[in-house]
Amino acid sequence: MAQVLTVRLLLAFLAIGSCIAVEVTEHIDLWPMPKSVSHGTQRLYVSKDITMSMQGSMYSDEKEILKDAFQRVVDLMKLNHVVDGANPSSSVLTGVNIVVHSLEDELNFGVDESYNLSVPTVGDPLHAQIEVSNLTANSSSLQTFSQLCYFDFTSRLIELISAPWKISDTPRFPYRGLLIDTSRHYLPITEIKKMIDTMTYSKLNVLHWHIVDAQAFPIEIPSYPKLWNGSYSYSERYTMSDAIDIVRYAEKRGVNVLAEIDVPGHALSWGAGYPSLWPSDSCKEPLDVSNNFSFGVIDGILSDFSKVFKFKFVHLGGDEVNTSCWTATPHIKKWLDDNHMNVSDAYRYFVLRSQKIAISHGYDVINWEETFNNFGDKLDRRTVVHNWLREDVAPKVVAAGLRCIVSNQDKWYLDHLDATWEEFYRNEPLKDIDNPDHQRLVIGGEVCMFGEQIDASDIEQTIWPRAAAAAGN
Amino acid sequence: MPPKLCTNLVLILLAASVAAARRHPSPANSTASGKPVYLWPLPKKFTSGSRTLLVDPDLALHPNGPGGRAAAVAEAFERYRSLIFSSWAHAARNASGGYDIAELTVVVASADEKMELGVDESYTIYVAAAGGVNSIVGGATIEANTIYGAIRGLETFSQLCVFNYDTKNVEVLHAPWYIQDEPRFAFRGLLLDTSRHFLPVDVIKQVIDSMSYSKLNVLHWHIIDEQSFPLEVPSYPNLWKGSYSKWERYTVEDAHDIVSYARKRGVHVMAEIDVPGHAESWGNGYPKLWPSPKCREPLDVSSNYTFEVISGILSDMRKIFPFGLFHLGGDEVYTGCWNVTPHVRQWLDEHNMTTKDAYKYFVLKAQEIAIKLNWIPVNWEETFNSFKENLNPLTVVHNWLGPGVCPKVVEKGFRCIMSNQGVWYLDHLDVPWEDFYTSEPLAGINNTAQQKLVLGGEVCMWGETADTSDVQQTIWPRAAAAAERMWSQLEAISAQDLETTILARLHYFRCLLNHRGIAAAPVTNAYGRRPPTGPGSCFIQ
Repeated sequence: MAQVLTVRLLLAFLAIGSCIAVEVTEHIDLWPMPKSVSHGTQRLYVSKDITMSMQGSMYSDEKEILKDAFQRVVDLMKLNHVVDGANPSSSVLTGVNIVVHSLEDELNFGVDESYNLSVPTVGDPLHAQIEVSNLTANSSSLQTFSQLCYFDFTSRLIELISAPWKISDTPRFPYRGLLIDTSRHYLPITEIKKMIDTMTYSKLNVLHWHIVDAQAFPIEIPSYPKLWNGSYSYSERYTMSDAIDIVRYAEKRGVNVLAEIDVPGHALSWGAGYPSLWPSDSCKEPLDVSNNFSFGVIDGILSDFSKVFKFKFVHLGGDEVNTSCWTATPHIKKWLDDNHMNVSDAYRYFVLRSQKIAISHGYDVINWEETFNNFGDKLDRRTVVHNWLREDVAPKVVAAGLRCIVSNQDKWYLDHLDATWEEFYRNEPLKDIDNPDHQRLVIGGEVCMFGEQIDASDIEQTIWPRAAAAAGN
Repeated sequence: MPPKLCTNLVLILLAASVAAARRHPSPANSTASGKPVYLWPLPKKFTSGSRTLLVDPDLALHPNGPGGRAAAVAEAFERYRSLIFSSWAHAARNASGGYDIAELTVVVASADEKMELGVDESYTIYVAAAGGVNSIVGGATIEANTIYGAIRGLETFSQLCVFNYDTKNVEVLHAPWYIQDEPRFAFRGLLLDTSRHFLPVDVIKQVIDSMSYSKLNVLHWHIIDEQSFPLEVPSYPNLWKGSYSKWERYTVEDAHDIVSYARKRGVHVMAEIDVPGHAESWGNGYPKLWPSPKCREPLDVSSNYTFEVISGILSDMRKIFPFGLFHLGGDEVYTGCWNVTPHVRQWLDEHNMTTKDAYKYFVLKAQEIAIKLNWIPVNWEETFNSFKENLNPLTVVHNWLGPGVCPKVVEKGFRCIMSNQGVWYLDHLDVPWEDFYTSEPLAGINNTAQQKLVLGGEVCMWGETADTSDVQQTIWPRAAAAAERMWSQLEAISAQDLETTILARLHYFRCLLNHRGIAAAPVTNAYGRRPPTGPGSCFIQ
């Protein structure tokens, strides 16, 4: 009886053992998948006191940006279990050495985000090595490192399996965005910060903050302090300090914040504080094109933004402009006639004049695709066209020599609940673009979480996991 | 002014301003001073005034009394200060004058940190300006008998503090405040089910945080059920092979971590091992526990081994869960497998038992094990309904099947917890917040001695159709409605109007939860956890 039992146990052991071996070699559970990955079959233990070093770095980390980022990743690895197994005597990864070649300590867009990550199995002490050209890339490399680590229920330690690893990675596109909409529903700052954190897990790097729209104007504009009277309520607001806080929070995590003020449409809420921005009391959109005050306010907003939003781009919207209130309002109709403009001319005039204001404050402009579709040849040459309507627009944009961001709504709008993760995954920004020069003009893509039907209670599960599928692309 | 009159005036003020709040709030009406202050749950007694006091962002804790210096108090103070002053960004320094409230004095009479059911959770808050009417000293004071009362007081104090978007300061409006508060029921529970879906430790901790915001104080951890067995049991290490996957597990240390996290917030953790039904997952590691491989529930009553395993589990759990009550389940026991499995059938015959007798035998035997470990057993109501004459008198009966049960339970001298599924099951998405609010644990019980046997109530977040992605918005804000029913005084909450004053306050509390990172769902949807139907303000959706 005992012999049979032993044989059975042995067979069971072998079966289980081979199952584990199969798990180890077959699965590479990294998301997004790095450009090139090779690994082995060995198990390492991550020291409970794993440290970071910067031997060989040009960068000195005086502001402790790297140190904080490393600590956050360590905390994340330890988040859901008490790590209190006995310290092993060998195969312990004691540190991560991060080599940053550039002295720059600021977040930069469009720089080399490639990294090399290696985890050896020989060496004493044993440490992982990360190499990046600049600080901006470190966030991605640390995220990948964290995904190699698992809590093991037997050893009660964090383990790094399938070592040694050699990973070499670089993003396909420099612009990998997520749009959030704080006008249709106010999102508390805690929620926005959570979005920033979760973006980094899948290496998204631009938070497109669609701050204001028709329904509510929640942000403080010191130059025009009554604008935020258009907020839903007294407390559904962001102060300038809140905005600075969010930008800093994002910066530390390698996330750029793209602010948007959508003009001239989608701007009804502006008139709550300044009714003269409305064509009339009964016709409140788009902003009054005939009134210089409209552009004064836009200038004030962008001036205030320039002190807070340091990303080189600002988004000026320009989508879904229904011009009927211009023709229906007498003083505007007169202005159009006086200036020999029809409404299309006026729409173009509004967008171009707004662009000039943004450029005067040091920004490059992003506009929604209708501006390109209607007067693409008149747009400032540095304009980035943000596609959203259909999937055949990007090729035309880049053929015209302009940069493009892809967000075709049939596949990459998160509020379209019927778009599946497979569709998010397979959506290809370079579809039908074969010329390499044109391909370079597609700076990336963005998934959009418009807020009409989501709020703080359910935004996270509407964004994830489908946004990760797009990020994986 | 007599306190009651003041209270009524405040309520009238609330009612008047609520009418405005229910419409789309007018932008012009955007000054801080006119705003009412909403507290949830409603304190027992409170008076307020008309002054506005500034709170120092460097608010300091001034501990006092034998219990004031407890670590738990200092930690709770730090947590609440962070919640009140969400980072440097919000509160600009008040350049001109000073701050009215620079110090929060917390006086705790007792140094005893024992946390048992029924621990004194009462507290008093005074907030006044120096030299003002009704005050001897300026600033804010919380007085409590125990550190747990102090923690409750800190929560209320944090709700008095509001941010002024014009001056960028944190203020206490309508000062001076005098609040005297204590709970109506000692047991104010929330059930969390980690068997139907595994919930990561961090998620459980967030739930515990959210409980403390509405003063719920018992986390009923329904750890295990048919579908999965996620907890480590050192005495029987194969049991957690019944987990969904090798990552969806809790170690013993994780369980300790959760208990300790809860304790710091004055929340008890009541663990449940549901026997003999709802236990199919146990057999993944120990197939002998199943009557047969084809008939896996309930646990095999005929085998001593079954009770050895239960004893091992309970012994291991005694080291983790210090709470005086332990839940042994006992619900929905379908004894078919006992009848059809030969060796069990034989055992029943030998012992002259029907399956009903065996059910009773099982429950009582499990109870004995718990009682020997110095626990008071809690059992679902079927045990009472089936064999009340034999149920151990220590038993706390947990009602869930329907209304009208606690009256029968307390009549027989047993203690009762109310969770009538028609009104307090959170997974029943069609139960609106009004029903959560108006359900009364003492309904049908008029004898005061019997009323005292109702320990309280519990809202239940069963996990069949809720997981990490949506558990919080299924729980909130409806659980908050029940939380007020369990904490606040009957007269006070009966005096308010559901669709005006209470709704306004619940709206406010829901938005507060969102601000604190808790994904509470819109209040006025017909069904629980539904998304908002269109754009709009938090305060009216």
